[in-house]
Amino acid sequence: MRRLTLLPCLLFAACEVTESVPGSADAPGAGPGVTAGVIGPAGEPVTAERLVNAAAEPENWLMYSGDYTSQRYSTLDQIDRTNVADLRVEWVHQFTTLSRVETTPIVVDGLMIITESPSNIIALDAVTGRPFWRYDHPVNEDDLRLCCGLNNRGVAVLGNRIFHGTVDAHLMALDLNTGTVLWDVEVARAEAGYSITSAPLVVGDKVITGMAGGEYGVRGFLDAYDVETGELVWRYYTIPGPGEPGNETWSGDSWRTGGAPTWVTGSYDPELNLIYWGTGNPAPDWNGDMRLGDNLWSDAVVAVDADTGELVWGFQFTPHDTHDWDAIQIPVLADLEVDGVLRKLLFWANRNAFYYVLDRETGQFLHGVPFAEQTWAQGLDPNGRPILVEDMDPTEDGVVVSPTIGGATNWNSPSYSRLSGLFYTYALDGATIYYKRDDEYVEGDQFTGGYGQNADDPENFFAAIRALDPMTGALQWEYPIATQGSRPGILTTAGGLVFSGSGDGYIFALDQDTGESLWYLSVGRAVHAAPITYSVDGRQYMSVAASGSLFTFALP
Amino acid sequence: MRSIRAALLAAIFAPAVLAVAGPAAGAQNPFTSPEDIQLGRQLYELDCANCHGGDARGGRGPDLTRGTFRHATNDEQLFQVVRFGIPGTEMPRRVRTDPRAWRVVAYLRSLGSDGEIPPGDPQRGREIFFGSGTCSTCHVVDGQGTMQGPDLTTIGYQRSLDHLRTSLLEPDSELDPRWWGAQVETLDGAQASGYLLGNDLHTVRLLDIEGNLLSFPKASLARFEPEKTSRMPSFDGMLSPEDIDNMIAYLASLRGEATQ
Ligand code: HEC
Ligand code: HEC
Repeated sequence: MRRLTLLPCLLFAACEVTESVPGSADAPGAGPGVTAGVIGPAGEPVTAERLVNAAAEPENWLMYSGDYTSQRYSTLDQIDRTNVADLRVEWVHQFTTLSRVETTPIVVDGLMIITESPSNIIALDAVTGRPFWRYDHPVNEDDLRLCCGLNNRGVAVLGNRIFHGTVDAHLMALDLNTGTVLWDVEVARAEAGYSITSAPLVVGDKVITGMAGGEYGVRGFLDAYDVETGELVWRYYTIPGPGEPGNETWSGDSWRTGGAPTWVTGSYDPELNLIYWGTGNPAPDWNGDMRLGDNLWSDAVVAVDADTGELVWGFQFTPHDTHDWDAIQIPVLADLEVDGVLRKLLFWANRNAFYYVLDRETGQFLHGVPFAEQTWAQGLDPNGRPILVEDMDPTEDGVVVSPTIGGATNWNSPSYSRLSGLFYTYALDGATIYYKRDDEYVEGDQFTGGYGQNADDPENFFAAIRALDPMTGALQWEYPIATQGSRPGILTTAGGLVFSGSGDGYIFALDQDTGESLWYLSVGRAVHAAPITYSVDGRQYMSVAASGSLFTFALP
Repeated sequence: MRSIRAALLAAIFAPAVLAVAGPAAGAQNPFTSPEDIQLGRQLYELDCANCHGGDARGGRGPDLTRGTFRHATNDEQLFQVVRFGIPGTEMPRRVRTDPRAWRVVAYLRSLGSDGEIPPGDPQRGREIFFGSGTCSTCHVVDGQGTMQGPDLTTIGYQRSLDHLRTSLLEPDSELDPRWWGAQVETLDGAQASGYLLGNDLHTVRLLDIEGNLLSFPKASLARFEPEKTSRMPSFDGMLSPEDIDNMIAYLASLRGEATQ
């Protein structure tokens, strides 16, 4: 927030504003932590440049994963290991819906933008939690095809605009300060199984969006739209068409309905001008006979040229997946030394239970080990390809395999701390009985070819926040959390803290080095979202959604 | 790529429904007797007339006597609109039971008439809108203009002719709180003004003319004056009666239908 002295002005006459000395505008009698002033970036809009340097303005949270590296590491250090126990609730925002809330807030100079099921937006004062405006997205639920609920995970920002993907597969631009719709494009037909639940990513003058629909036999893609006009600039299909390399990894016409959606926000390297994005399961999920071959680029990370949308390289984690192990995790970018040479790396804890280190210039596989219980692969070969255990594909009668159908991890954000040098991820040790069924593609119907069922009472599974050495994948410590309903994202800070949550309704802070619990609060319902941190007028806040509410904390 | 207008259109054409228990698609109205229509009329007067007019010829809500509806092509869809409202618009969810909604549908179906044709020349109205009338300095139509007031791209569909006339001549009447203004002065003498976006026990929030969002703790304010008047000037006397007619004809033609 910029603190301003407001000069006398007539109603609606242009008011001149000038910056005052920081700290001088504190009005006598103002409530604790409450200051008057201009909120939001009206004066200094968020530029593409600011997005590239987002890590340098930790007072803001400018995009879904904080900055383009998606490390979710903040240099804010006011809240630290010595005082985190004093953290208190500053304000709570209650959503109008009982649906799950998976939103990651965006904070721009004291203005917070959050989303609500099915595809609504709320703009709040980040200090008081009081709303400025809301946008209610009209949807006809009959037209929607959603495997997993009416979810939305957040918006993107550039200039005085925010960008928003909707469950009915539209992408829209809205005015940041009023919520007025500026443009609205249909990205794909909702009735045919397409939807958008993820936050878009702004890169330069383009807004990039993924899509969901892996359970409906869609053909996955990544789209770039002009931020000004909403015109489609490029589309990259994650499944190559006939004549394109990789199309031969799909038997017959199966590429047409092969899934490989892009339903979680990716990352970006401005130097290489590459966008990194994870892709989801091949369709149908559990019946691989209908799509013989490796099924490129399902369950992969693709590196795409930001200007043209052309594939520069791809790495497939789970060739010919038959267990629904989407590789839509957040690509975490970091530059570290390998054998004395500084390299551009990509860290990836995958739903298939392996942790990978890749070279993000070339896609070369450098290292990979399991980080959670798995029974499907003996290991990875020198190229990172799994060496399969026999008879682990789903059958009519069912086959027990680890990890579970929901995976060793999923879409929930990991974090890499530049302070501790550790990689933190949610992990689940469990098993599913995987069944195969015949299926037939019918537009708009589910196309899954089977199903899965817990192999044991989930109470007997084990879930944790795990801290890994990012180069070796070796476990440093773990902090157990609820085995059911946990989809917490992770935030690390220069205060030496790891913030996360649990399916049984706890928000907590851990010591980055030991995993020791330093603070927790029972908020009553499952955490299906990632914490963020920001500051206004020098005061650090931490915010996280838990089911129906968003909680914001600060030190007294 | 779709323009704002096309997007609005789509939103309007999508039969807005919540996935709540309701009749199957294409359901016939089971309540169509004269008694049902009479009951429907009573319900209409209680729940709907304040927006759609006592004779359903429109007001703040659209004319419902034209015999055709933007949001509904059959009785089932009309039922959905009446029963559940239209999310994201001013059309509320008011009717609490299915039989009641069906009876209101029966009443609406019994109306049916040709829409009133406004006098006036829409083309001339358009020229004034983007020219001497300065309307486009505050309003947007089809993506053109400045967003200081409501987007008027589909105003002809949303509002009756009478309502449009009132908007031009007496902007302060029936002013939606979204457009209330406020002036504030802080204890240290700074002043601000703008649209009142929020006013609660402890805080006040404004959108000023420059598009800045302002947030004040009430304890920091020496003065807070909400202004329940419209920013839009009355055009009574500023435009000739003919030009008022021309303007209304233009506004009435803005129905979000392909005009370009
Ligand atoms: C608060 C004002 C308000 C009330 C009360 C209200 N409406 Fe509406 N109604 C509107 C508005 C505004 C629209 C136009 C919505 C839009 O922007 O598409 C509308 C739209 C409609 C439509 C769709 C018209 C079309 O062409 O598709 C129908 C039908 C309707 N209303 C019927 C009713 C009925 C019946 C009631 C009472 C149960 C009612 N309304 C109560 C404001 C209201
Ligand atoms: C100084 C800014 C300003 C100017 C100039 C202006 N308007 Fe408005 N207008 C507004 C505002 C603000 C509102 C919303 C408050 C209200 O209903 O009065 C509004 C409301 C309206 C409405 C009612 C909208 C609704 O949702 O019912 C109509 C119609 C309208 N204006 C037409 C016009 C026309 C035609 C002109 C030019 C002759 C014009 N306006 C000039 C600011 C302006």
